[in-house]
Amino acid sequence: MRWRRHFILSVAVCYLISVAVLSLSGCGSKHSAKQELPDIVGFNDHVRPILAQNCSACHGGVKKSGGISWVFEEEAITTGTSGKPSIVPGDADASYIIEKVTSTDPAVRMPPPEHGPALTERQVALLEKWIEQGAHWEEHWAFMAPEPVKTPEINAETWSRNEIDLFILDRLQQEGLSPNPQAQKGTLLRRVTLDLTGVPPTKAELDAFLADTSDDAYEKVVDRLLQSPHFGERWASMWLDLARYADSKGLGQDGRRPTIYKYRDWVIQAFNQDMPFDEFTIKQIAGDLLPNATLDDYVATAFHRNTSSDDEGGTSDEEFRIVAQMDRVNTTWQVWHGTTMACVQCHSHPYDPLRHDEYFQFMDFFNNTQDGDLAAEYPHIKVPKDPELQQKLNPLISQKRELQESLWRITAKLTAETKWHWLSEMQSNTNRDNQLQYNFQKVNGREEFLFDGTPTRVHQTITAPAPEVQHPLHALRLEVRPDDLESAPAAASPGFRLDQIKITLISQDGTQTPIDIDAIFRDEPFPFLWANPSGGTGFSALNYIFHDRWAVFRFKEAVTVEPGDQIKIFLNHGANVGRKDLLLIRRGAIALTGDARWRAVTQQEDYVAQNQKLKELHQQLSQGDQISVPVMVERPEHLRRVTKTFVRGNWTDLGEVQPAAVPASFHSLPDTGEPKRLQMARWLVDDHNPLAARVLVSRFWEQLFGIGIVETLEDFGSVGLPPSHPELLDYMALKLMHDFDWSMKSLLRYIVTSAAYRQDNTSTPELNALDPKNRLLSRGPRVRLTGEMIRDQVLALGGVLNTKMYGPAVMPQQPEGGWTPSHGSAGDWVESSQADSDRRSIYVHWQRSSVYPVFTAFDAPARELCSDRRIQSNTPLQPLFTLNDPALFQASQAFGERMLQHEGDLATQISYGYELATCKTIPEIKLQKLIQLHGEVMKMYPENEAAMRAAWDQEVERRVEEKRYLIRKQNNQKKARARQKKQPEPTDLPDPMSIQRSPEDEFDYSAERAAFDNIATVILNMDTVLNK
Amino acid sequence: MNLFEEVPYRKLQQTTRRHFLAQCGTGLGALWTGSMLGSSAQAAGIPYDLHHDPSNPLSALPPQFTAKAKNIIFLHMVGGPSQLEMFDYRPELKKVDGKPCPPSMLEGQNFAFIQGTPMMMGPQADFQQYGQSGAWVSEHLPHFSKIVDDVCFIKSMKTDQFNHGPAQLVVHTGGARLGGASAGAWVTYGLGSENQNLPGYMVLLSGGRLPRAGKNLWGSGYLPSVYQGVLCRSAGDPILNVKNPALVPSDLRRAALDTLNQLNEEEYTQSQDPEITTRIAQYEMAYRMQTSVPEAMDISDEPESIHQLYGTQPGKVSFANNCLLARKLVERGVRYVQLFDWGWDMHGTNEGESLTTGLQRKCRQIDRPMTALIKDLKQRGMLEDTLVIWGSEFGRTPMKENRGGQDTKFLGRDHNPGSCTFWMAGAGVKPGIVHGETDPMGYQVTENPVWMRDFHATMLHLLGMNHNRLSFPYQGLNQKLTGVKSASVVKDILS
Amino acid sequence: MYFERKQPLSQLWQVPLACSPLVLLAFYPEVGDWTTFFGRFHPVVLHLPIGILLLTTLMEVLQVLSGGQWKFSTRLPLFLGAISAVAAMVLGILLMSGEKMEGALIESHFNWGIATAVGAVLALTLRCLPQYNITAALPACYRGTLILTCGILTWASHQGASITHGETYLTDHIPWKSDAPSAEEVELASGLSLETGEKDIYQHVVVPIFQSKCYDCHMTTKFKGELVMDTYEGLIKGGSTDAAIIPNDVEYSYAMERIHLPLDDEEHMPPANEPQMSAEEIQLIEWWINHGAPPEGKVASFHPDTSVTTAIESVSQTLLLEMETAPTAEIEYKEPTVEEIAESRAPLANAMLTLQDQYTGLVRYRHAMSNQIIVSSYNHQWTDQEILDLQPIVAKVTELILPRSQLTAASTEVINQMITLEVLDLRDTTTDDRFVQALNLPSLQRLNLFQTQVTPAAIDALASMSSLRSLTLSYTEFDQASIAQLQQRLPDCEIHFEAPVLQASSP
Repeated sequence: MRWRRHFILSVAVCYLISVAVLSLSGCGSKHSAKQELPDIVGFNDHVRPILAQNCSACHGGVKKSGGISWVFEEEAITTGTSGKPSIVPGDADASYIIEKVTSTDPAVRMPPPEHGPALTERQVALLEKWIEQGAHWEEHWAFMAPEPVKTPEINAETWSRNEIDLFILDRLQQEGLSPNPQAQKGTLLRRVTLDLTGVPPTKAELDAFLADTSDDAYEKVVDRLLQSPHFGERWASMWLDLARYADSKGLGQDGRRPTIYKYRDWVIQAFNQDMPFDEFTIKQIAGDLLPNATLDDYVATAFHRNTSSDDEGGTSDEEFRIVAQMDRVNTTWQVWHGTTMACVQCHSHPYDPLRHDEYFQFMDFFNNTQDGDLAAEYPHIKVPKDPELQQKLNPLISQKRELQESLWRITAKLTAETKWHWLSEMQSNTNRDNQLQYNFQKVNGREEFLFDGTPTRVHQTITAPAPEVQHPLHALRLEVRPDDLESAPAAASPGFRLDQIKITLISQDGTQTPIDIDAIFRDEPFPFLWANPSGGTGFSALNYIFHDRWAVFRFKEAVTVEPGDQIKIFLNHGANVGRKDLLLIRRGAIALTGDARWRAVTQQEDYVAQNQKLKELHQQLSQGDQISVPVMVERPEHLRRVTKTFVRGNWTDLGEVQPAAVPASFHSLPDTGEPKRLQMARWLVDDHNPLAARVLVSRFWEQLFGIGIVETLEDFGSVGLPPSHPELLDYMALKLMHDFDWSMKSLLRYIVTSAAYRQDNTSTPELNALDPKNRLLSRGPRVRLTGEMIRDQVLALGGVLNTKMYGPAVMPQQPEGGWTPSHGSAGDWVESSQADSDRRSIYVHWQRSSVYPVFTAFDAPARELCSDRRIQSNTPLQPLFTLNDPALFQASQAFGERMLQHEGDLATQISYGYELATCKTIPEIKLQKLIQLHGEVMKMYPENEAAMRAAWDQEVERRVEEKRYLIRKQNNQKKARARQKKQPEPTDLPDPMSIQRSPEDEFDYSAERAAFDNIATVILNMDTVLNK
Repeated sequence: MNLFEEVPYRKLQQTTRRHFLAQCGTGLGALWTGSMLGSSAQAAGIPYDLHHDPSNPLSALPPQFTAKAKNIIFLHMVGGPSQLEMFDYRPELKKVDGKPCPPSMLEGQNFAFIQGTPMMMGPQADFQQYGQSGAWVSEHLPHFSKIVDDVCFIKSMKTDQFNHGPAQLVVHTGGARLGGASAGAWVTYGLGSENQNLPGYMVLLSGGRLPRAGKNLWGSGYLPSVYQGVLCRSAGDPILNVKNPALVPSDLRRAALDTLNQLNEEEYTQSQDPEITTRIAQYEMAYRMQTSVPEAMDISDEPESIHQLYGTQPGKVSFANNCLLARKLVERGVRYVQLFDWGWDMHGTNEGESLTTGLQRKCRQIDRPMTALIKDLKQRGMLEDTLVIWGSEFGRTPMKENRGGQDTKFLGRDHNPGSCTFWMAGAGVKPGIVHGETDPMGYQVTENPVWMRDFHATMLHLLGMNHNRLSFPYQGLNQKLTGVKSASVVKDILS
Repeated sequence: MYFERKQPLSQLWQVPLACSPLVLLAFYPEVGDWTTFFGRFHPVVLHLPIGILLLTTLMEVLQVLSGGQWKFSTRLPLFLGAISAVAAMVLGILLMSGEKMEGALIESHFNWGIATAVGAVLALTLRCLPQYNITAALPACYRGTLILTCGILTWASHQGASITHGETYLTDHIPWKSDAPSAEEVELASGLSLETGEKDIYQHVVVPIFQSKCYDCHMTTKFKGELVMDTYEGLIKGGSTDAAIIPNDVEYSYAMERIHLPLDDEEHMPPANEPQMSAEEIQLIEWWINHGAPPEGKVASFHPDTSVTTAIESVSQTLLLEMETAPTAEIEYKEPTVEEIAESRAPLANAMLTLQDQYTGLVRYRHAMSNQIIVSSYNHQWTDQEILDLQPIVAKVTELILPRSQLTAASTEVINQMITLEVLDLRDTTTDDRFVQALNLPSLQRLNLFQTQVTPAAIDALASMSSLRSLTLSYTEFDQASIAQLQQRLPDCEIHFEAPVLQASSP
């Protein structure tokens, strides 16, 4: 009967199979989806987008649900908590991921129904095919260094002018499109002039260009423009958005930064000198650490002093110092890598290969700078206002600082060698005994005083038996210790400020002899406050203390002590400057020494010599009137901070120690043996950096064509949009690094001389539908000007633009109600002189909480944080500005006047104006319309004049009253300040009534001028003129 | 194709788009949610698929489900008014007045100014119960106490920021960091504007100063900038440059604009850039705004009875004027009206910032107007569509402030993120109830805590949107007003 | 006659063949993953016998009724029916053992399932016997058996459905079903609404929580993992792995262990896609366990601290809320499919398109998923003429918000056709008595006549609008008296009325 059993079994099996087939038949269509799959399924091209979009939220850097993350290969192709292999290369069916995404059971299916839709059949098919083809992992293109690309072969084309065009044309042909012909000469001139210098071409420039028929006429123009000082001004304004440059501090009170403009000027100069981008980078990130750093190099580091700072009462300086540090990390990554780091401060990057700890390793590069959210914005560097002088003094600063350091090293060494006698059996009383009391503790043989309580303005008197030493006493050492020595380097204690120290010797008979101090030696070479021996001031750590801090106070004469003598030390702990954490020595110890070397040390001739040299240098460096610019300065090694991970981004919850390092998925740090921050700066512009060059190219592209080769400048990573021309991007990136040696001018020249850039920008409805953003460049760029450019253009066309460069910010007229800073400390908007008001927009005062309204109306950011691009809007508020803004209207009147003054009849005058604004000859029909307008206005004027006069007078009155009010307000403030200081009220205050209607305030207007003003308004508001 | 052919052409495009919408209901976003998930879509935060009119991104959109509220009026008392002197009556606190604060209340707390061991301070005002609801209201608010039955108090508001700037950012953008989109921007993004001649989201200031966080409080953040709030002044030019220059009377301007439009149409026939047609539209809207905004912002034409009701004086900047303006704007279909009244930061450092004189002065300033606003909306039958919210960035401590360890000159309290009181009235909220409870000291919330994000979720719910689904893709994440922490609608206060 | 034709002898072999799937029982009770693997095919296979057997029966019945007019060969179908029935049964058994499913419901489904298979095979056998011509009644028996089997089959499959879709699956939506809450619901609710102290620690605190979160898969009638949670014994006895609840020992109570696993853990309970326990609910369960997990006893007698009492209150509240809002929530959360919406909008879609082009932003759907229409205008004053344009969509308009528009009684003709109109806002308009008198809107709930020319003369007209819930008459000719009069006649309507009176300005 065996055959029977076999038979039954086989039937059973067949039966099951048939059922299985039936049950599967439901998904039969899937196989059809497989048909039109690409032959090779690429991870980056096909798979990563699916994962990043559908899975990374739970299986990414944030949550590694089930132990699986699609960010790193080793976390992706592995067995998660399920114990089943997520991906078995070559075997889709054995891969758990396929089981999960295809499951019909909602409890099993990935993504879970309540998280998102099931993968489409095609997506699943792609996954399967990718796995079957061996599941080859690829890093995201943006994190792989660009490979040399060869330019596309295109036969029989006469259009291209350089390689750029070949790539563009190649793509266009694939799409079955053809490029536009070259734009009219005038249009082209206007476009390139605005792009390179931010101001429109003059009539002379236009005529010259039109006259020049040589083949390289255009190239000549480009070279001329690249040499123009305006070039730097235009391109600086793009960089300042990235550098979050502003003339105010932002955050709570948004107080002013009156001297930071030196950085702005540095950027302008850098662009004008065509400083190579690598040098440009290194100086801004670590200029202070360069060998023989110059004043300029220090000023450059203000790039990272543009961080917002918070002077608001009750805020912890350490907290906001850390906020600033994080901003530095985020900004650096944003600017040089087009990568969003902000999210990594709380958890690993959701979709890019950056781990949580790596964020803090990178932060460690910055974390050892001296600055710490102090209202005074220490550390500063003193620079002369006058740029020429600054150039002259440039080299001296490093010499000076070297001397300071070597002098400091001498005394520091001596301090270490000296035998100190620590006071014991101390007694202490203060003027605030009711609010705090002092305790004393012995820590390895050294007696310390500790305090408990939260008072301010503490005056403390410590008495202790003088140590019994043979020699007379020469110096006293005051040691200040953090609350917890171990954790301090990462979790610091509040700082202190010693305002005064008085030392007295009390002999047994009770006579008190004061001991004078003639020198103070500090534990750091470059303290914020310099010592003042007479007052005893100068020993302070205004932000937090991360280590033991000490200062040595040397006595004027040696002090002999008898046994039984007492020594009394009076400490004035200084005032609490409106902070939650007090400036107060909370834990300290005092020592004395009889070591005579303290007397000798300043007599040694090398010390004397160096000191002499230092004095001279100091003399030279303090020539002219000087200002203090906030800069980056590294803390000395022995005071170095330690960076630890902030668990889930909480700065009070510290994890592992994170020594400075760059993310593992990037090229390694070039080990030059230099300070870490400098190494990191070099790393940013290292040839192996996959991103820096690409990002820069894309930025410039965006500035010229309105949209980057990678549109999402803020995100080149996995969820950023793919580049429109990947090969071109890499080609130009490599060219920038190797052929141009990072020369930004060369890069710009390269782009603007391409045929793609020179195209005529007319479009068609079909093209608009096909390529609305003009990413393929089948037409020339047609991009709206920035607020700054619009303002500069009106001033230029009005012929009133003041081309003076550099210097403190200016304050042109605000529209009524335009000045609304968030806090009084932002000060007043005091209108600059007419001449200054007509200077270029880059010099306009930038208050973070109240940016000059014209700029904001046209999408300027507040610059509180790094902003990659200005998303263009088209709102009804914009016309209100271009039509009515007082400053702009004034300029457009000047433009009208200019037309009016022009030789010739009405038609000629209008055509002249039109040509100025558009660089095109006016089409007849437009001319007729404007002539018609002229007629209408002439007709309307008479019955309107009365009303206009009234409105004019009213306006003048308002302005006069406004000015008077401002003066009164400021006078009152001055008086109040005097009263506070108990001083007599100042008498030399300006008299508000000194503001009176000036002759030019008189209503003097005519139909003719009205007509031309309106024509000017129309021309300046034409879409052509608002665009480039 | 010239403009006159173009316009129908664009219409056609739009029509096809709308046709698509008509066929697809909520559009593609809902395609699978509807058919596959149904129930879980809401919870899941599948982003809404909003179809803004390309040529007018502010045109009104339908809500996602039946909305109880159509407009919002948000009265923000800048600085953190003391709930303990206004709404949150704490008799227990009176008993411990003058006693040192127990350390347990200080541990792990951040204070702006309190140092060492402060003293407890009892309520500095007398309280009484009013209305059927028997809500406690302090003597400082005699008018308001008459309408408590129209109001829903939330005594358990909580935030996690103790400084003005960040705390204000949390109230209006959901997060303490800069760069977020404000609630008003979210709402106009989700619902558009009802009146094309006015901004959909307007901001009014009184009290002399801007809030700390400044323009960020009504910014559009990562949302398109058309959705940002427009700051309006109730004296002088209501919005920047809305007034023609003195030398340009409106009929001259009209003539110029006509010419400009013709020239731009010419330009369009040349370059075929659709942005031009949009720009023409914007110039026209700007022109209309020049008349409609001043008209809307001018209260002088209101009858005397209304002026008496609010206590308004035309021409001067005051909270009262702003309340009346808020009504006028909502009446004209402005979606979201944000009022900021500065000067509630009662630290006791000077008389103006004292719980005695200062607070009473501020209460006098708002008592009649805010009461009038409710009454007025009610008598116009508008309260059923309008949600009025009164609140601030945080509350104040039951301890007396002691700056730098010393007692301040006048009576003052420090910032307290642990609890503060909001009240709401109108569309969709239960009138005459009190939600949430604080501890006997009025220090921390003990019952039904409502975080700012819950408050946002509730507001969006009333406007017919789910806070999990009103999102915008930015930097690889679907950004939401309620942020990453999970927020929930406060069901108990919904009518 | 039908049976006369001689049939080949090899007919009966079909019977054992039909039983062949029984070999799979080799995997019973538990052979590694195989049992579950095969078991999971039960849901797929079971549909075959249902379809085939019913079909076969139908054929036979027709054949008889048509007096042999219609002839069908039922041999193959019958065979397939039988074999699939057996297979379904076998797989069902495997599934049950694999998934550790137990309980009354399961048991009976098990029995009925077997009965079905037996019936089917029996029928097949009878069908194959005729060649021996045992008795003439044979065909009748055969058909009888077949029909009987279908009956059994139906019942079995109904139970099957109840197991997967829940027992009330069918009855939930019976049109004639009263929505009066069931006895259990009432009891549960009353328990929940007791004073906190009065509540029974188990019956009124613990049970409701488990009921809302666990019962679906763990109740006596049907449960997974051998765990029954709707009886105290069940909890203590526990499931396949371990005791669910160990008094005084939260840590070792397996139920708590599972509950505390991270949500993304496969072992986590309740399953990730089910409603989760709130922190407060967990707190209460643990509090109960820590007090020895008693089967009864007043809450008060366990001296709960405030945190517990508040937790109990809020949990009871939420559970109660769930109970009442369950149906409404369903409505709010049930999102219609794109097709449904499109369909519901289709009739007026084109009319809407034209209107939306004509009045951009003024005419729109009530919300993204609604087919009702709102007309609202704030910067556009509507005229009688324009109201006519709304003619095509009158059927669906629910709100007319037309402040400051220029309407006369003429437009009421169109407006009156808006039978679904709920809100009519005419504030600051020229609306007068004639207009109001002309109105006839059955479902109008809100009428705003603020600052219109309406006078007390319109009282009758207004009073006739019985559906009104809110009426605004401020700043009209009305006075307190007439309002009072109107209010009497519209008792359920809230009337907003303030006269523009000048108060003596008080401080």
